[in-house]
Amino acid sequence: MKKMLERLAADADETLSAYAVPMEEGAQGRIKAMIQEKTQRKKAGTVRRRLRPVLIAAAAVLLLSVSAAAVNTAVDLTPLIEPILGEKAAAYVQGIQKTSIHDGLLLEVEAVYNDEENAYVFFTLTDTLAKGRIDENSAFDERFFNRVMVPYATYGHNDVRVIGYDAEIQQARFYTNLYGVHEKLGGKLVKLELSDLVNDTVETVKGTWSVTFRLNSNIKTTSYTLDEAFEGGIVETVEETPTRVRIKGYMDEPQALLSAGHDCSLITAAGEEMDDLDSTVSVPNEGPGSFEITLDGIIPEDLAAVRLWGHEFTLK
Amino acid sequence: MRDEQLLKRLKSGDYQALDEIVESYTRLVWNVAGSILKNAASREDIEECVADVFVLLWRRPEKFKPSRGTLKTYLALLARSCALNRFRALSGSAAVPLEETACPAEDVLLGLVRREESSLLFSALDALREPDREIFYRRHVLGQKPNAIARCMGLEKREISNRLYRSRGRMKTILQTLEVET
Repeated sequence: MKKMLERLAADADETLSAYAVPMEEGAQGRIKAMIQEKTQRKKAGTVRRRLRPVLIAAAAVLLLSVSAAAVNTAVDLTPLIEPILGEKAAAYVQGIQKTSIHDGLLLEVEAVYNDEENAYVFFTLTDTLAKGRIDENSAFDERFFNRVMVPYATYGHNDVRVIGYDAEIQQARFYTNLYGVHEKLGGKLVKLELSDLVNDTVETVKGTWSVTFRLNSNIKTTSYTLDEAFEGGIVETVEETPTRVRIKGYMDEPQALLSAGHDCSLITAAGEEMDDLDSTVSVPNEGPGSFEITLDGIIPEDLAAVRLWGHEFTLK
Repeated sequence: MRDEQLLKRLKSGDYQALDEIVESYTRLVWNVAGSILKNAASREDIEECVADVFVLLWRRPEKFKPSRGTLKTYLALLARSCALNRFRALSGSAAVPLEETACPAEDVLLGLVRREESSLLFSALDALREPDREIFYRRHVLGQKPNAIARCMGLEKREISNRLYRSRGRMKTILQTLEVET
């Protein structure tokens, strides 16, 4: 496979041009000017971006103190949630039922699933004035206030997915995913803010709908020690949440990690091998060679073993 | 030889050498960065990312080792690292230090400038339909994670993983068939 992949890249240059954002006329000139400006700065070093003001606002929102009562959902969301989070995670979904209305459009946050790193928020939008402003293609200029992607909110609707639509009551059901926050999410107060409803059939409905609610603090990460050595490294610990397994270890040769990221297979309790299932390799700041392999969207109980770089490790 | 001369000029602080490199390789760097940052960053961000690649080359020309590959390959790898790090920064994940950018022997992008022996493989790749082909490229050439690919292409993460799994199996079968035929 590796040999195949090496060969694959031969014509990649041309192919990538089809997948990239087209280069605008004038871009080359702007890039040249930017290079000139940066290379003329006296102080050398890594090019860093300024911390955007909105991130400060995000931190402020996290500090807000508003109570939110968790209740059971009025609708059984299990059939909708299972395909997204897996079967067993549905048991950890927390009902919210908090609303916000503007211009006759009612936002209701129905439920949330979260662990310490991710939150999935399930919500509906209903056109209570029955003006036909909602359909299965509805989307938002979406803002999740403690989300790093906020500066690029115009692209944010990619993360709001429609998972149901009822034409009779003019209601669409959505979910969105909060991730990439540099602190533990358990028990945190978060604010879902949706702006400017857009769809294919009517003009954009200007407005803002926001709901503040508290995330579940009861879902904890559990971990155990594996300490299994393999040629070139060691797998030390395994962390689990209801939808994630994270394997931590070290490799003797840090550079090996750069090309080792794709060679991960999961073996289920039924003996089935799942290749390339949402596995990601990251390099945390815990010293050279350390790695974390995160397997998202799986049920740890269903997983019997992991094969990493040709070595199979049985999980507890 | 041209790469080595350019490197020598860069090391001596010849800005004209950087200009020549920018003129020749901006489109390549754009294609790599623009593929990774599609739907995740603004055009201004992509432009800044492209600029950063050349700025890094200017500030640390010694990182480029002509003995390990061409300048074109090095810039493609650097562009990929910069773009992946920018993507991680935008999504809040930890970045991989740029110092770790290197030319691992198995890296797919190493083949970027090599065009030999590719016809068989591309016959197989052409047999994949879109979006499977694009997903395959993004995963194995650009090194994007399923989550990032999902974001760029507006698809579900699970769909990306499933399509990758199926595509790899399909590619193996097609290649085996083609190799027997030839």
